[in-house]
Amino acid sequence: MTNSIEAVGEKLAEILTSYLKNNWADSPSSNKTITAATNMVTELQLDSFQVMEFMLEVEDHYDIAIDLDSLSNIHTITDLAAVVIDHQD
Amino acid sequence: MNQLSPTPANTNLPVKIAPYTNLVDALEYAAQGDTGFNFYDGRGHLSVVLPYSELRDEARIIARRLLSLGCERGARVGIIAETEPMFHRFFFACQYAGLIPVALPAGIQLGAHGAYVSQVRRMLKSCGASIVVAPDTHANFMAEAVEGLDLLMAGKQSDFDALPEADVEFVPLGADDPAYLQYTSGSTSFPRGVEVTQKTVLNNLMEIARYGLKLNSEDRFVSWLPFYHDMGLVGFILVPLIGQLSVDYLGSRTFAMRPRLWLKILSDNGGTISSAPTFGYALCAKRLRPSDVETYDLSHWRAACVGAERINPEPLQEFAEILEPCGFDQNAFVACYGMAECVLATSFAPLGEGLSVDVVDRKIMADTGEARPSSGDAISTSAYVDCGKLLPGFEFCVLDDNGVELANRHCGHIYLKGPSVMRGYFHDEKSTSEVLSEDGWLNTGDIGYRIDNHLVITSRSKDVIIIKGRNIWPYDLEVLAQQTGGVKLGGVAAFSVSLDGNEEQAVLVVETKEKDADKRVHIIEDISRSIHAHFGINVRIDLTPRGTLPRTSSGKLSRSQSKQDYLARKTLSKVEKSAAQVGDKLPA
Repeated sequence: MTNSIEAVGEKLAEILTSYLKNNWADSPSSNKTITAATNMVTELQLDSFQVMEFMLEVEDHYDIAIDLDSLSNIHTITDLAAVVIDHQD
Repeated sequence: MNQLSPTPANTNLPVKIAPYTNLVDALEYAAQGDTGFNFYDGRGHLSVVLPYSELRDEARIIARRLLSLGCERGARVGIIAETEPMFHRFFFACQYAGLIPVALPAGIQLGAHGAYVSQVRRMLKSCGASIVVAPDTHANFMAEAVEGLDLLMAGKQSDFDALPEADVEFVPLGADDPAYLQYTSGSTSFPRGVEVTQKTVLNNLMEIARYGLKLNSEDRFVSWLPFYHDMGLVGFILVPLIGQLSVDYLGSRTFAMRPRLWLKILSDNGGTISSAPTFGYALCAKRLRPSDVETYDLSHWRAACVGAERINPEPLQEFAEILEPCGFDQNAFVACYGMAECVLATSFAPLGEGLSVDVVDRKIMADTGEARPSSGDAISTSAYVDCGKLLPGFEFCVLDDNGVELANRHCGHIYLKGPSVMRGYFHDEKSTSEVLSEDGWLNTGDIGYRIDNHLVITSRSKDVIIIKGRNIWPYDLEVLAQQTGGVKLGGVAAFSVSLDGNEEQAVLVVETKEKDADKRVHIIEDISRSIHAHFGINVRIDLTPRGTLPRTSSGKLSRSQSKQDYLARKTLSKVEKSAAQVGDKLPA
């Protein structure tokens, strides 16, 4: 059950947390608790460059390529988890 | 399997910058050489090589296919402008076929599906497109954007491959016909398409190539700028074309993910000319690793152009310092000034001299608009980057609010005239007459001053804050705020509002990570105190989380959007307050 949506969501929250801590320690988002329900657009207010860098980490971690259609519909970590699972199949 | 190699430097074709009647002529000439366009993929590997000769052949085939659709001469063709060879093929197919290409945005943000689709749709309606083509990655967005529009065809590149080739003589666009429409950045709700004629674009290209960049056959361009911006389209497709030179492209999204690839390609291929807004240089510097500096050779990079908004010298100096060991010369920085209404460029700082900063007395500037040189400290002065001499075809003047011409070193509205100035916005007489006079003077909307024949830009005119008859430059307030603790460079936007019909009030929206209520009060007090001390005005200060100030698609801080957001927040909090008051009165 490693690729249940909950498990992937947890892993993604972890990747995003460490991405923000490592790269944007001075941003308010870096101290936030990120969960599967976190909305990356409205809550974390990531800018477009942060989004692309984070996506790169996700793509590298899961060895997938996230298409623009999917990207444009992702709001929360759970949305992203669903995309990751979809792309792994 | 043969490994791809990029197109070479120009070794066999005499450089011919002019004269040409249209872009087709320019492509036909460049196609006699070996140079062309090289596309690098998301990992920085060369994926497509498109010499000018192949581009000519492919554009001709696509032109015949487009003509088989029976569209009228001058019909608009929307091209979703991803960094792919498809854009070049369709752009030049339009040139052969007598159709007008329109570059449409390709950048898509997280969760922004609906916003992107409506932006593209607004532009398609604005230009009255007959044909739309999208890369495979954008096909679904395009399908939504064109729903219900009256088009001859909308599809992916491969859909157009299925069309028959019309057996017709080409009648390419003439000197006075449009070459393309350029939508200006920032105008998302009311798109305005600059109508650029063949004669106009060729004139600006000639001036950039001959006087701005002084192109020679050794030059090589490298770019990650999107083709739907004037800098990407004109600066890195058409300028290289006019000089028969090779270009290496990295996608804009790839740059965002892996900014170091920009420098790697410049280093590997010996790139000599590349441009970016200040934030591009800053992002790259932030991501560099010490090992990169050991391996790169940036000694060929002779023109590192910086344009868009006010140029902030600090991050550029930092970039230059980090990369100095790999041969980057800080004198390679070239400050440029321009706008889509003048095709691309209107002035260039002298090549090989780096950034020239004019330091002026801040108080005199605010009180009288005079840019008087000063050797005072950072607090009492303002620093502006000299954008150099205008290209020879332009005339300019600096006027006060009453249209009276100002002397040297006096700030006013910058007007430009010359053969590269647009004819107008496409099918939009109202917007055109707002900025373009009958005798051809363009109100740039920018504020600045002249030092003899050099131009210094201080601000966008709509941004100027006028309090009790004094002009206050938002940038100056922003700089003061940045000098107090806890405020980052670029993390503040200043503008004025007039609330409840009262006089103008200066507002600063300041990004901060501070959560502690007492410390937040301190930040506000420090900034207010500093601004009061320097300008004698009271400001309202609104703290906002880091990363929330709005930026345009080209990364510029948008003061006007910051203002709108601020007003929306104020209205919202008023509504919430009155709702709370109503709630208080309700029985529990």
